Amino acid sequence: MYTIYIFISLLVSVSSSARGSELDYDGWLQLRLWHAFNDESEPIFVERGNVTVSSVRSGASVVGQNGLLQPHINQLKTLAKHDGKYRLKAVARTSLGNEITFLTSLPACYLLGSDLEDVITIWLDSAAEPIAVSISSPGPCSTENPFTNMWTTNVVVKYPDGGPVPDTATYIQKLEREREARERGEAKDNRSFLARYWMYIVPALIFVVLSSATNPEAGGAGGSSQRQ
Amino acid sequence: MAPFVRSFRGNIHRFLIDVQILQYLIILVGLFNLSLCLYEDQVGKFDWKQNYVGKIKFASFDTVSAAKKIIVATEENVIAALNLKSGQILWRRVLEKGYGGRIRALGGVTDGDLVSVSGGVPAIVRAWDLATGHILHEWPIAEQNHDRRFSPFISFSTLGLYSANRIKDVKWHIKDGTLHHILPIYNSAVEVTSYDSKTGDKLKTRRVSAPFITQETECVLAAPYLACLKGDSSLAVLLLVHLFDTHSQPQSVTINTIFGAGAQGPYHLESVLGEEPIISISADNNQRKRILLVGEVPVPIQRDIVGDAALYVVSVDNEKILLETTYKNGAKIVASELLTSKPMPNISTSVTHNSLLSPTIIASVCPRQTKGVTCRHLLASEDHSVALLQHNKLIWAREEALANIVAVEIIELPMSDRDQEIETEFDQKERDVLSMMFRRVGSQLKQAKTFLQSILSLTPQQSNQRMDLVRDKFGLHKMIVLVTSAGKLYGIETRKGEIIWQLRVRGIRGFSKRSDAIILYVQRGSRHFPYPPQCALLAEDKVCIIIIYYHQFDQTGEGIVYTFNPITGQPLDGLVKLGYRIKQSMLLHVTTDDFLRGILIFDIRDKVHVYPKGATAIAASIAKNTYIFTADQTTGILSGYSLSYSTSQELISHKVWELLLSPKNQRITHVVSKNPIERVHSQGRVLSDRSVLYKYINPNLVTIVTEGVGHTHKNTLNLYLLDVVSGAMIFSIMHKRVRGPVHVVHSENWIVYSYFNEKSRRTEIASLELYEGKIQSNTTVFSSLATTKLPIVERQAFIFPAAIESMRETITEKGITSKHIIVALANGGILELPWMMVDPRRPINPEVREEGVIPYMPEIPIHMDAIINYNQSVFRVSGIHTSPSGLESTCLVFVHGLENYNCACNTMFTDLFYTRVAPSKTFDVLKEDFDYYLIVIVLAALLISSYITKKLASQKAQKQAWK
Amino acid sequence: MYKSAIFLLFIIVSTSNKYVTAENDEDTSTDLYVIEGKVFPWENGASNGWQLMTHVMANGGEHYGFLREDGTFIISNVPSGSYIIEVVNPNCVYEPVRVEINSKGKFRARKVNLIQTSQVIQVPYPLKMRPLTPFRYFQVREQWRVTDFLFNPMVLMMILPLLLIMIIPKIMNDPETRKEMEQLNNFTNYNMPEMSEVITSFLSGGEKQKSKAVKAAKKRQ
Repeated sequence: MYTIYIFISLLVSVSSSARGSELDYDGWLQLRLWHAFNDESEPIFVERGNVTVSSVRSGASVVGQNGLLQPHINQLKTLAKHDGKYRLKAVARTSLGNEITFLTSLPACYLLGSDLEDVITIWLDSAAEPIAVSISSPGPCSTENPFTNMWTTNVVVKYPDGGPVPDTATYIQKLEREREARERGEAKDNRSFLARYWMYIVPALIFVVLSSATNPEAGGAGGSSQRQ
Repeated sequence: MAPFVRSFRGNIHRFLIDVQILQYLIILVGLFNLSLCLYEDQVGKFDWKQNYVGKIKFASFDTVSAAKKIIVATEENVIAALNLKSGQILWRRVLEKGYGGRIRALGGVTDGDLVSVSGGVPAIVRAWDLATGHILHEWPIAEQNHDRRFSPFISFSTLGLYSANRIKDVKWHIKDGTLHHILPIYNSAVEVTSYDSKTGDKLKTRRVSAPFITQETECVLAAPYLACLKGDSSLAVLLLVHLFDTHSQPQSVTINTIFGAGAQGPYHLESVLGEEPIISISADNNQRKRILLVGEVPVPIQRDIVGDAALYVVSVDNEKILLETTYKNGAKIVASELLTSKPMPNISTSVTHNSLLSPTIIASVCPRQTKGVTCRHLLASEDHSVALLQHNKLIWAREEALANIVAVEIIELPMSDRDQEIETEFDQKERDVLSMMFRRVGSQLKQAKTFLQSILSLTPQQSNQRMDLVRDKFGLHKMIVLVTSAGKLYGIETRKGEIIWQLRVRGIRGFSKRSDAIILYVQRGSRHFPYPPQCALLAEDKVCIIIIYYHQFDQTGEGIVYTFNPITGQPLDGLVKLGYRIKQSMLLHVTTDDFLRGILIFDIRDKVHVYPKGATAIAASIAKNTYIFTADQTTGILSGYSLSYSTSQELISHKVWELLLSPKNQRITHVVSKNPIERVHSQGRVLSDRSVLYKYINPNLVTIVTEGVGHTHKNTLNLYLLDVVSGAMIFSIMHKRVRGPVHVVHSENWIVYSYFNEKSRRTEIASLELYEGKIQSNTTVFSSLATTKLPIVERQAFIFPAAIESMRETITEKGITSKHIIVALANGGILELPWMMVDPRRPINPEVREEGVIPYMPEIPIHMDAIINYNQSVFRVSGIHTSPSGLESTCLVFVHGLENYNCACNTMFTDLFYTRVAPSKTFDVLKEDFDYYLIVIVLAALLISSYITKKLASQKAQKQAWK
Repeated sequence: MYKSAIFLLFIIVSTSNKYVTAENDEDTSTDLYVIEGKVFPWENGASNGWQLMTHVMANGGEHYGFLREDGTFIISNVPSGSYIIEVVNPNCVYEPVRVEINSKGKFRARKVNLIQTSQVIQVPYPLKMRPLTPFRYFQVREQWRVTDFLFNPMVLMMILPLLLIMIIPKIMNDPETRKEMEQLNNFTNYNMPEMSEVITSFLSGGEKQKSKAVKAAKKRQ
């Protein structure tokens, strides 16, 4: 019953293809994971497994970790009951040989609610060095036993997007186009005076007609008032 | 025909009236001005500015010119002339910012010209017109190379002995139109290079042998001598080098000949200010000092002077007088003849004044007039204020501490006495009908009494506050609380900029780890009568241990809290030493029973404290959801702590996340959170297809900006958005080939930041906007821990056609008013830039139109009428503070920096600029220039005309009926 | 539980927002140059001391140049590179100029174009900075004037017919003018109605003919 399950999953996670993202460097990355379920302020870390990212640019990764033992699950349940936090320590080793320790946490109930499914996001800086490792879980919040004691871990590698640059090219093109259009328009507009300004002439004409039509009436009105 | 005409006329009448009404409506609408900008007659109506120059570094009386004045050079790189009578600034020149404009020497005033040396290596020498402040000459101190056409200069580094960090060892001496550049060369000599101070021609270079000078040697200039102290013990020797005589040998004076036997080291050397070559040496842990006249034969004065006395030598009728300034509950200046030590009581004075605090004389003149000798002393105090003393009388004082502001808060004024009575009436706990009625009657009687008193012009009972310092209807009249780097606090009211109170807190300094920031919290506003408003200051302790002759500060750096009443400037609990070093602090959002918000303080050992102690239980009650986050600039570690394991007796923190922005690759320059009092009114944005795009409004989101370090990452700029509760990174972006200065504004669901693009060599503004998407994850509250979906980030960059000094967003009470960004420009303007202009959703493609979105243009135009400080240029803005007013439409803006104004005739300069802006126009109040007469006239005319026409019409009808 | 919890956190900026500059970031190894030029005042606005309220700024305040009384200035200690030279004056707009100094010490001055950075329009060096226009910071307040009100097209449209209605009957009362008017009317009656008739007949006549034609066609059917 209490055998240790070895659970190895190969997950090729696709990092979000943000526009303008670029990474000049490539390399591998190894994470060793420790976790703590104790409901105290000082964490007691036990080993959880490791993650190897073979290429930070593509984000291809291999996750190797042990399943949870029943006492751990019970601990996790107590932690969840007390609104406690599951803490994860990750020691990252990069291809340059640097070792960096990260700490991340999430409410324990989310892990139980999602049946030990979690997402480990590794954020890299522009030099492909890890700057943050964070754990998240879709939830929902629950304090019940999970269906499985196996981890379902997704690894996502993220790196900075390229910053926006002012889009001058389209603007210049637009100006150019407008200038051309104007030039063309000026060249083309050789319609007759009447054809161009008919919309002003017609109301004026109507007005003249109307006024001439009312004029005799106004005169008549004057006459009629005279008569009164 | 007749009925037609009648009806036609009637119609015309009605129509005319209708049109008239319409017309007046149009006029009425026109009265609510729909424009952003200012009218000329509104100048100074709700803005004001004040004049400062900064902490005085050099000063000199100009007795040569016709108009007597004082020439000062300050730590803020300002050269100015002050009016002798009033202390007002006659002219002011602001030099380059920081290191490039640091004033090294000022001289030549007694010879009728003003020469300043400023900058780094090579320094720039500028000669100014004493009377007007025009520049006369300018030249850099450097070897001139005549081979090249465009007069290039080669810096001193080519001489092989002068690097930039030696500039502080260089001594300058300006005399008779010659500038002497004195550079000690270690273990060999003193190199004196003389230049014509006007043309920059090199006159002579001498080397005076002084092989004893090493890096540790303490040297002071007592022209024409350089005095150096060699050795620490009682065997120490004072060596005097004549700078203009290459053949002379250094003279040596032993300490024993000055002090006699028994003086204890370490000794400290200082030159005595004034015209004469005199130095002072302090001994016995700065307990006492003696002075030495430097000359061909050095003359020591065998008299002990108190260690902390500031010395100045002034000549009166060719007699040298020593002025000793001491401070004990007031400044005391004791004059004595230099050589004989004979006291001169007619020159000695003693003055007690608020603005004098441990003053030192920095310039003094004692001309003989008909009445006798009248001395004028310019005193610079420890708190940066400067005062002119003339014959026991303080002529004027300037609060120059205000030139260096570190923290600002704008606080509501308390209610007037009458409002307070009403407040007490309804604020009682018991609420039975009878007692309430009694109270009602009582207060009405009281009101009637005051009313009668005012009618009978009886003196009203004395109130403990100034009558005009009360809250106004729209909350526009407020109190600005300023904390200056000198540790002096000021309360300034916003209407006229009058200093209401000032308060000096001794023995504090800013957090050295956070570039001398002092934190100011408003623990209780003025709404909670009868409890007084309370502000708290968080700073580091500055323990002063006096070591021989000079104040050396033992940097304990333990935290202190200082509480005071921000309206009256009264200290409340006084200075409280905390006994631990502060790493982080925050203001709790819950209040104790007496409406006091506690301060949560996180010390460097990760222990959490609450100030005041009584608020611990309240803090513990919300500890479950309280998180603290820290960022360390040197290590690059960012960590988050939760307080969920706290008990009601003690707060316990535990780390919940930690990440590292490796200092090998980047350096944290900015950590910008949102304004905690900000409210977001609109949860989403309506798109052209009438669907809603919901904003990602995370109150725990913090922007972290880092600059790349090292060769490969130099000139990269990284921006990270971090949720500091969950520790989750939300977004990161990187700009290549850009450099600072970076300015960041973080508000609502957007971030706007500016930087300099090296590639295109222009200033750019980038803008990010975060959206949750078409569905909102949680409609009631935002939870950092429950939200796992990353937001959609819209981004865009714009060209900004000016250099930026500082940026800040406007804030209003309810967040309904649209946001503007207040941008301080390097050319002295303060621009009100609508956020709409930097909206990242401005479409490049003009076919996609959304409401209120302007099509994209790469360059943001600067409209002159959006410059809120019109021609009152503000240079070198160090900060902008915005605060909501009682009106939703109006935001108060306070800009501090060095402000420079001009108008054709009179000149004024200021450091502080205050105004108010209405980003969506004043939609909720009539403008102060609303024409009441016009509306009254129009209404009256309408009434009368309608009445008359009615009469006329009825008459007409009657007439017609008779016919 | 977590859903309903409000996570509040007030973050106090722990690193100052101030941009920290190193003390000695001056690069001393390169040659330093001097940018020269002259600033001209606005002709009629050249009050006393305009030189005092004006200074010249390179790259947004990295280097300053101050004006002599004749308006000339120099900016000293400038290493080779590209600089935007701006004249700072609170009353007048001056066009900025980009000055480029190459590593050999050659100067080139050109117009600033932030959008098309590669476009070069050279301007003479030493610089001659002339004011473009005085600043207009203020809006001109609209004053209520009777003439404004009267010449408003709306008012004109109302008042003119009103005048006509009020005055014409009065004029008509006068017998002489009435005669004259009648004469005029007769005169115009000869022309005007004809004109309108011509037009109306022109406009309606065609239709009638057409309809007639249609009717005729119908009849034939």
